[in-house]
Amino acid sequence: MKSDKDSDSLERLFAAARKSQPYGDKVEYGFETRVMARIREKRDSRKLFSFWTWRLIPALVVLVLMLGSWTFLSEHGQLTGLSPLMGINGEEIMLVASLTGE
Amino acid sequence: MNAPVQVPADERLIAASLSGDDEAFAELVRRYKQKVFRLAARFVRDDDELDDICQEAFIKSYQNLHRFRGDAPFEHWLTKIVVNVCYDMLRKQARKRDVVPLDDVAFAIGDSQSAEPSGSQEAWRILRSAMERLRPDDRLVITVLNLEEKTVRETSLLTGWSETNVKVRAFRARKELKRILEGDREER
Repeated sequence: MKSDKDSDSLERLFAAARKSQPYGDKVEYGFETRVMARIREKRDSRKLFSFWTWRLIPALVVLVLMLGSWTFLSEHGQLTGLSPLMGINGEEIMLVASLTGE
Repeated sequence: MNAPVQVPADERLIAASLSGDDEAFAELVRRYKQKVFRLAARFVRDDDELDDICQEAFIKSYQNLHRFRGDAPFEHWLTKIVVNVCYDMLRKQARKRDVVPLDDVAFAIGDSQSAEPSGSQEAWRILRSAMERLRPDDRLVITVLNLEEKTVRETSLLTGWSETNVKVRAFRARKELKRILEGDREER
C-alpha cells in the first residue's frame, strides 16, 4: 500500500516537472550564431594546423635524413676510432695476465 | 496568391552542410535547438551550463555529420548525441563530487527543504535537487524514461544499454530517488 502511494506521488512529481520550463527564455537567443562561430573557429584552427603540417613536412624529412646520416657517420667513426683502443686494451689484459701468472 | 514556402528536408540541409554550406547547418540548429535545450536542461545546473552543453552537442553533430547514414531521422541521431554529451558531463561531475564547493551544498540543501510542490516549477526544483544526488546512470535513465517519456526500447537505443538493463536500472533509480525524496521530507 505504502509502495503504491509512493509510486503515485513520484508519478505526480514527474508529471508536474514535465510541464515546467526548465530553462530561461534568453538562452535560445542568438544560439545558432554562437554555435556557428565556434564551428568556424574550430575549422579555422584545424585548417591552420594542416596548412603548417604540409609545409613543415619537407623540412622535417630533411631534418630526419640529416639526423640519420649524422648518427650513422658518428657511429661508424666511433667504431673505427675504438678499434685501436680495443687493441691496446687487449694488450694490457695480456700483459696483466702474464705478470700475475693467470 | 502566395506560393507555399518550401521547407527544405533535413536530408537536403545535411547534404548542403557537408558540401560546406554553413547556413544550411545553421538552419538545422534553428530547427532543433528547442528540443535539444529541453532535453539537455534536465541534466544541467544552470543556463550557462545548458548553453555550453548544447553548443557541444551541435558541434559534435557537425563534426560527425558525414557518419549520419539517414536510416533513422536526423532528430533521433541528434538526440543520441545530446544524451551522450549529457551523460559524459554527469560522469565528469560525479568524479569531481568530492570537491563540491560549499555554496553548491548549501544551495542543494536549501532546495530540498522547500515546501510541497505548488506548481510545475517547484516540482522540477525539488526533483532536480534530488536527482543531483543520484548516480549518473540513475539520473540518465530517470530523465529519459520518466521526464522525456521515452519507451524502454527508445531508451535502450539512446543509451546503448540492453532493454533488460534499462528496466533494471530504472527500477533501482526510482527506488533510490524515492529514498532521497523521503529523506528530504523527513528533514523538513
